[in-house]
Amino acid sequence: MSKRLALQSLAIAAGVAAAIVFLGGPVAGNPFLNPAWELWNTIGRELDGEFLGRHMLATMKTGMLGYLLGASSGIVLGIVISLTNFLSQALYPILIWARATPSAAIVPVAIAMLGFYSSTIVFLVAATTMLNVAVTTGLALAQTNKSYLDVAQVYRFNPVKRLLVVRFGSNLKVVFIGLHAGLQSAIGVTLLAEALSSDTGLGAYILFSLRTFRLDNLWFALVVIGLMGLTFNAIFHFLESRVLGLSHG
Amino acid sequence: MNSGVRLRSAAVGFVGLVSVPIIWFLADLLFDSPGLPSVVEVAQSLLKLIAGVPFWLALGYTLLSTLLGLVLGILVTTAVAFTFGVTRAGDLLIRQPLYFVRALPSIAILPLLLASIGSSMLVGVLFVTLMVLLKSAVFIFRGARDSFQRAREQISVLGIGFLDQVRFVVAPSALRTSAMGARLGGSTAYGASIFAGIFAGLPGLGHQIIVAQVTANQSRAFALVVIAGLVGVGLFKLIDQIESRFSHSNVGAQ
Repeated sequence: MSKRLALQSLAIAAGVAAAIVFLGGPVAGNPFLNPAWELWNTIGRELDGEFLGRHMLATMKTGMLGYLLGASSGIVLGIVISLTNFLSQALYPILIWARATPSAAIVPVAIAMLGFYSSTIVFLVAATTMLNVAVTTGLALAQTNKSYLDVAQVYRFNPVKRLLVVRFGSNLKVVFIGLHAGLQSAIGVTLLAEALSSDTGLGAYILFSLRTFRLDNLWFALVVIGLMGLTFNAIFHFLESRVLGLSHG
Repeated sequence: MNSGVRLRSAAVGFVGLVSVPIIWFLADLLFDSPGLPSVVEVAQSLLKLIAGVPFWLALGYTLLSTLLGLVLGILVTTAVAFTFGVTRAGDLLIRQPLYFVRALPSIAILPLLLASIGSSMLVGVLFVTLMVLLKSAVFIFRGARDSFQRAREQISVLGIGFLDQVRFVVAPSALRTSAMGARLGGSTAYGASIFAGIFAGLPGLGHQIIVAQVTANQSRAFALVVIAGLVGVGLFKLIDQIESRFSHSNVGAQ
């Protein structure tokens, strides 16, 4: 265990050192840019109430609200899609097209259509999350193992129990894959939408830092976003293991 | 699935696809929405787009940067994975940094590249390569380690020389892992290429979309999004076919 911890600490230290060497060298001679080792000073300077409230919490609030709305509506839509063969077959090409469209392409068009409001960002995050979750859930439920359905028929399960326990329950792992993909896209869409349409949130902070050549602020934002992503992933995997553990039990 | 069922499924899918413009047309007649262009305007813009050379150049650049970035990213990641990631110590060293970088979205990486190196076509390819590397690294490292362990067991049984080990055991394992990594990295590469156009103004479909948006040409922007989706479908089908050819198995949609 201690060897494992030592190796992982060494890895993090090596990563930080590599970043300093990589960026410090070529950038040090540039009058517009600050080297990466100024990150500590930047953390001290930038990590104040304004950053936390105006940027970090704003991103978390908007992103999480959109994600939760999109995830719940995506599960419902996925279940509805899987209910009839006709509906799933009719919607399949549209959903495949929608999933193949990069969310980065949709964001500017949707902002121009819906306007520069925070509700637009929530809507965008919800819509992209819903799509990811609905496609994964719908396809998984439609392809439920036939022997499970046969067993449900033998035991005379009612339609609701067949849908929720057999179809949904047996595909819970796949549903979580869709929810995880939705979480990843939700973070990206939130930041891009903030950069293009808002003056609050980490996306807007990144764009402002880029336009004013604040490389140290960009590094700071990268670390904050990386840690945020790690935290969300850890929470997600904790919830996933709890729910899947219960479902297996 | 027999041919009758397949035909019926395709027919129903076609009905679903055709119903979208019809519903859009009816919605436009019933509700007055200034931000939503009519389906006829979008169709006209689409025809105008595909008749012009700039669109094909933009599409060519997007596909070039996507495929180049994807291939480079997968090659670099596989080479690093099969060199350093196959031992337990290497795996432990690299696992946490990989989980950290995997969580980073495009918007956290591209501004740093732009501020450090500047904006050029080469930066676009470099950015796509980097994003593919970051997103597929965890999977490729895991695949490399599993493949290498299996390969080592085979090598010990067969008792073959070093070059034959590389030729018959390690290289096929690396190829299979790379092909599966390419399937995972495909959507990342395409998304990153479009994103680079939108955020940094690099040439490609993304740049055309953002230009259409800032000039308030909504019908053109919609047409470009439709095309971006269709190109994405084609690209992922192609990558899927390449992957299944190399891996000799289809691991399913997930």
